Amino acid sequence: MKTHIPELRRQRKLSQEELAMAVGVTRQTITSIEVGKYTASLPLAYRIARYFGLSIEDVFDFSDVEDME
Amino acid sequence: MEKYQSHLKKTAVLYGALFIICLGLLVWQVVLLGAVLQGSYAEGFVAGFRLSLTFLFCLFSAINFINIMKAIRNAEYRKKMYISDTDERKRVIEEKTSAAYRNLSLPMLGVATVVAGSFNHTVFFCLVAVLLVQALILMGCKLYYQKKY
Repeated sequence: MKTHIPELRRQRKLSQEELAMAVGVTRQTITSIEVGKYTASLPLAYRIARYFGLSIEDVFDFSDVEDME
Repeated sequence: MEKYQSHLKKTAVLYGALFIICLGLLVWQVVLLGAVLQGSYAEGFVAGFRLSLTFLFCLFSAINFINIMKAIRNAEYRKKMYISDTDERKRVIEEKTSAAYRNLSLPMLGVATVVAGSFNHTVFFCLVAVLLVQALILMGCKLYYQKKY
């Protein structure tokens, strides 16, 4: 799944480690989510979106899911 | 985080107890080792394997005990340990690894059992017993998780 996390991090000058610590996962998890190797669970997606002050749809790209409908 | 700290304290006690038990077993085995080494090659090999395994358990429990004590005393280290313990990607990796291991090991054990039957009956019955126990554990886990979810 594609995400807007790298752009959002860049805008806020935030490292992967800082974001990982803030949402309670390891840096490797954030890396995997950013490169699309791992899809975040709903609670983690919610925590990331809340951290950036956005909705889940603003952080994660659900176009793949919509194509499946 | 306080719940996690109390969990860490209980785990530290368990690892401490495991370390003492393993250390006792290790000393006991070293004392007995002289007598075992007078015996056959197989007896020596079994004693060596047992000793190495006990030593590994001793080392494992000591390292974990030290790590947990450090986490109990240091809040920053505790947070890192909590994140590492509860990381969802790590859990997915563990689940996938277990599933892959199960899918590979059971059929391979089945093939090994059939092949061993042609050469040695003792090995054959040993492998059948292992296969049955593994299949029973698998079925038990499946039933448990079907009820849970």
